[in-house]
Amino acid sequence: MSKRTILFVDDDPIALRMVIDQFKKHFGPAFRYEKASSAQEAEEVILTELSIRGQLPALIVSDWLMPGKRGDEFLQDLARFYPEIPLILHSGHADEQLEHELVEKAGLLCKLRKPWNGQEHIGTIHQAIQLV
Amino acid sequence: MSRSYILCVDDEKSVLSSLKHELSRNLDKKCRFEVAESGEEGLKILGDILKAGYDVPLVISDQLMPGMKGDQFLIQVNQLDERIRKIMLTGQADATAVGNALNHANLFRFISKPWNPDDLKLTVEKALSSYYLEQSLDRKVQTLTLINRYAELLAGNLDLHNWLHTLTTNLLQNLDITHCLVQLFPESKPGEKLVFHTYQNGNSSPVLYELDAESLAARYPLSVLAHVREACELVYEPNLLNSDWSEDPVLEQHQIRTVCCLPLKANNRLQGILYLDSRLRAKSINEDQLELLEAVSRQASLALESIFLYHSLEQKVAQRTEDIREDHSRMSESIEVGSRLQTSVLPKIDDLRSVFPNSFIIYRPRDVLSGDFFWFGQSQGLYFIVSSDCTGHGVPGALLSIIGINLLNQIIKVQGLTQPAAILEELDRQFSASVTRTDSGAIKKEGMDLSLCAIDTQNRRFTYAGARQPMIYVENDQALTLKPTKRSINSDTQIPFEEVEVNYQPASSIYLFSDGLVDQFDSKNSKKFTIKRLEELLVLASKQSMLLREGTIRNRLDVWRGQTPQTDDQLLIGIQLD
Repeated sequence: MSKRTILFVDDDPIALRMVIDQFKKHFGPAFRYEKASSAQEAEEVILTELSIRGQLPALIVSDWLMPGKRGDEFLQDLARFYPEIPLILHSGHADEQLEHELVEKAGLLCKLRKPWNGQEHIGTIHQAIQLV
Repeated sequence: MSRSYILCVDDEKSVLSSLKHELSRNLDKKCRFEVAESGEEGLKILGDILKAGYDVPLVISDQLMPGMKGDQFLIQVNQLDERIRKIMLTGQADATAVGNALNHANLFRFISKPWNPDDLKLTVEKALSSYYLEQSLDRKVQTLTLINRYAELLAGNLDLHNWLHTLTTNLLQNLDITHCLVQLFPESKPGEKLVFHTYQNGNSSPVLYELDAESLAARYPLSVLAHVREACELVYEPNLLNSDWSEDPVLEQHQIRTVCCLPLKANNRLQGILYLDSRLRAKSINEDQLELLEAVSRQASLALESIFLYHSLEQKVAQRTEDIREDHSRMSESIEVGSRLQTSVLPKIDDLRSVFPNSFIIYRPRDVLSGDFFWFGQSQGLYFIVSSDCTGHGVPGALLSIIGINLLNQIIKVQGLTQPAAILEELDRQFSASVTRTDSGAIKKEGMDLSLCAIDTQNRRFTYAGARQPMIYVENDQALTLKPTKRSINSDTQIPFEEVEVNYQPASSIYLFSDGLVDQFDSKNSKKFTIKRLEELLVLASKQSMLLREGTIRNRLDVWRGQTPQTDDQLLIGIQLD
């Protein structure tokens, strides 16, 4: 199988850059890294993965809330249509009910609290990525 | 029976000779007398007799002798062989000595001197018969133990060669014989004889050889073998020199002295022959051993029968496996041909693309042949697209699909019906008529689900009617599932088919599909794909160019299924309407 992709979704370009840098630093060339600043862009990446590479992203790291037409529906859609993609939340917000739902129906692995806390977060990601 | 001796010990020669005189008058001639004048001499003589392999059933001893006393002597005799019957004779009733002998020498009787001749005669007779009874019981037990051992050796061994080796080498080692041969008549190969033999070969362990007819005739008396085979009875000849068989030249040539040949017979069928001989001496097989051999031959026959049965079963299984393999390859071939025929009956994607350039068909039979089919036709300015799913898959599904295609051709192209609902009604009527025309009612349940779309490109309009099979219309990132009538073709339901008319926008798409797609389980075999996920996928994919769209959908379905087997035939027709 070809190299798999990790998809990062966040409407804040600075936060996006930082998280991607952290992942690249720790996992290097083991994965391909794609980013999306909206739900729509994320869907396009998923489609491209499917049509060009014939596979789904290995992992999606996504912010909680995003502007745009279907921003807040994005996670629920993921849970419904792509329950097999593992998910990591990276967010300052908290919605425990949705979190429970995502754990049950989708592949929510863990939640990383904003702001970024290097050591603690990398440890969590390492554990989560074992499951991918 | 071998020779036996009665030993009498007394220091008075007159007593010895009168004992000898009285007893030999009354007793069997087989018994001989040995006498000794002291316990020491008695022990020496007894040792010599036993060493020579002769029986000593009885020792009669005086108590009062110079040197070793009678009780001491008898105790030592008892230690040599406790089966020997011991009688004490004495003039003085020495209670201690008698008690001693009773307790420690297993004394049979005590007789006081002078003896009453009748009493002596009776006592000796009793002692002898008691000895022989015990001896024959011992032999019986030995024989039974041996039979049991052979039974264990012979049962449960299903490898013929191994089994024969066990049988013949054990007989060769346990009996005083030089040659052992087994001739087999397997039921599965009538007329064929299998012959194996083994023989004493110095000190090296015996080896089992197969014998051809020529060697058999050169080495073994065919007359004996033939007799056993024909009469199905045993031949036992302990002394061949004076027997009816001495005419057989092989017996003379090889100096065969003892022959024992037994039929191996189970369930009234002669399985084979067991033959043993001794080329060294006559009478090498005695009556007891003959009894053992008869029991062994019965055990062997039963074991042989199960070996033959096992091998014929094995052969049958192998034959059956081969038959099945041939059947399978014949069937595979005919299914391959069927598959080519089915493909040739289905419309070509190029026909569809000549009208709708942006279109694709995903057609995935679960087996080689498919119960799903699609149909494309043009009549009276309308384009008709059909996807259908017949009951079952494989051969029955494929046959039904041929009927479906024929009927659609008939109804749409020949009869010229154009209204989708009316077409379905007519299809239902004709399909029921053709599949229930058989004598048995078994086919009654066969039917199909189907969706039919009549497209009017001039007026940007299509009409859909479905028999338990929905379709999806995608326009502006929105999916609309058009619901079918809840009635299959050839079902008992009689609600009328309904149709829906849709005015379509440019760049919208329609998707017709079989339920094999939405019922497909995921890689963990726990969730179905569902129509919801299909809608989402089609909305997303419809944003892509047709070139990418088909790949996206195929890949999504593949990723979903993972290693889980395909649940059913799958069919998806996608058409972009411009």
